[in-house]
Amino acid sequence: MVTHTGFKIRRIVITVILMFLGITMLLPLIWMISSSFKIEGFIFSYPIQWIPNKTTFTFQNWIDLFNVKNYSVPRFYLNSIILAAGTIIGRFFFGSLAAFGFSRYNFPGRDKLFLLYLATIMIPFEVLIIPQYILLRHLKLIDTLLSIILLGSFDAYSVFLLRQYFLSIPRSLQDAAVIDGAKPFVIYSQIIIPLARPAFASLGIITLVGVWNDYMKSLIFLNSPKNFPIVIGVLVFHQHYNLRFGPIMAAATISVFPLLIIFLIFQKEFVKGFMTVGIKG
Amino acid sequence: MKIALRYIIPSFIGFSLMTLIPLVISFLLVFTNWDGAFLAQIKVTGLKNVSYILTKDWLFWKSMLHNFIFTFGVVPVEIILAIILAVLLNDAAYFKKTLRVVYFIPYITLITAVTVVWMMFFQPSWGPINSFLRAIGIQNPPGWLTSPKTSLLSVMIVSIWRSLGYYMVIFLAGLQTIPSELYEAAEIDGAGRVKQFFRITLPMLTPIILFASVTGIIFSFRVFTYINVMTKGRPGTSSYVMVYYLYQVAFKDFRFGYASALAWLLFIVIFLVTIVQWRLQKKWVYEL
Repeated sequence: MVTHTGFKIRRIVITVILMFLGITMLLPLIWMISSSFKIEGFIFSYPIQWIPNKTTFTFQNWIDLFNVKNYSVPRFYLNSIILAAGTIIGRFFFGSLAAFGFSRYNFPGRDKLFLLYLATIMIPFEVLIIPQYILLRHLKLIDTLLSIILLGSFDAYSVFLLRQYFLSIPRSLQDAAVIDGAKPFVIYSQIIIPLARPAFASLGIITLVGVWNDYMKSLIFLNSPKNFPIVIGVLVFHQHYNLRFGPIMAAATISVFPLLIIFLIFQKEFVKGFMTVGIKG
Repeated sequence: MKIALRYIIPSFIGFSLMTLIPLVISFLLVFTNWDGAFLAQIKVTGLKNVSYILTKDWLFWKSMLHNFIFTFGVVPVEIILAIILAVLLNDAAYFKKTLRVVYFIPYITLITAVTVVWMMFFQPSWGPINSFLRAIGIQNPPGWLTSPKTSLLSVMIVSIWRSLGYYMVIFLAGLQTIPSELYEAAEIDGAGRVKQFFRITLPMLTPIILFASVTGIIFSFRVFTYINVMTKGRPGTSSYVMVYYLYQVAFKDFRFGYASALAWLLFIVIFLVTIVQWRLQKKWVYEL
């Protein structure tokens, strides 16, 4: 009995320590939110006032954020959503078609072709970016959202991830359908795709998080503010306001939250998505 | 055969255009001095770019050194902290799921937004970190991003902060795969908690440690966003890293040939480090 209580106390102590550390991890974010509602002069006062009071509270930072000429938060968001949705659709479409071909059929040279895909996963995108830039410049696609969607849609990793999952779907299902006279496209769209939903969920989530944070590509391929996604947009506000930190914090807050809310709603799927990628990858 | 190819071809066309052909062009550019303007002006210079980089370009060596410092500072710390957190969290009494979410949150935040917040946090004269340090009696707190001694360290701290939760979640998943019989048997044999950790938990986690170090190292050699937003390689060149240098050469100076040579050298280094890790895994990675 004594050891049992000791065991329980130990577990409670661990919980308390972890909660304390967890809150410490979130301090920069808490400070960010709190500062976005504070009058400029109080943001850096010490000791930090975590919750603004009557004299320090203001909405002005948020009002200012939505009144900047040429830069609009909704526009930045729309661009980010277009980039993410476009890339996800492209990867789902091209990736699943190729994965179907690689996993359900045998043909000479199949494994060599697949190996060619695999080999490029290792190659850092920095090696490819200059020729990609030249190519997209020739296609007159620089400074369009399409350029980034195209670059993301054909990645080898999606083909790999989906193929691995398709391989785990029992062959007997396909054979039964073939006996019933099903065409390949019916097998692809009616059997494989519905059964591979978890793989699509994982791929969708890692693509969303990846594209949302893809700073370098946006920096290189997009020039005009009307095309900026939020990952660049938040820095535009940083430069625009220079030394007014309230609106910068409001911009940071509003750019962090949407994905965070999606994560909190779908946390199970997120964690599962990153874990499958992590362990199988 | 025909059927399979019909499904693969759409992907393969895009894959060739966006990956295979650029790969070949990039390799060819290494041996030229092209500035990206007119193809007619392209000059084949052979190995001149590579030999210049290796023998005369001190900024290349400095950037590469910083990448190694970054990698060996960030990756082990991240992995050790993530394992400790995962093991503790696995043992916690309450709020397990909530805590897992809390630690994962930094990884989900928009990278540039939180980087800007950290810049304010690090502000040397009135930022919260130095205000705190002064309050507890440290007279001359570090200059963080503004000092050549601590600029790279500051970036490393932000990097660890943001990705710690990701690694913790991976290790947490690994802990679930360890059969509980192993611990039960150890308990019967009278092995204490510490012994259990080093004899069971750690060996069983080695495949995931390998995965985490391979991906962590690749990420560290490619670090760019934090640097470009927080320091731009400054003060001086104290926080120059390879991809930042490459970006400057390629898209500020438009020296495509030289930048391609830098990119391939970076790739070779990443490749060699990864190969070494694979070779060494037999020595320490536990296989079922």
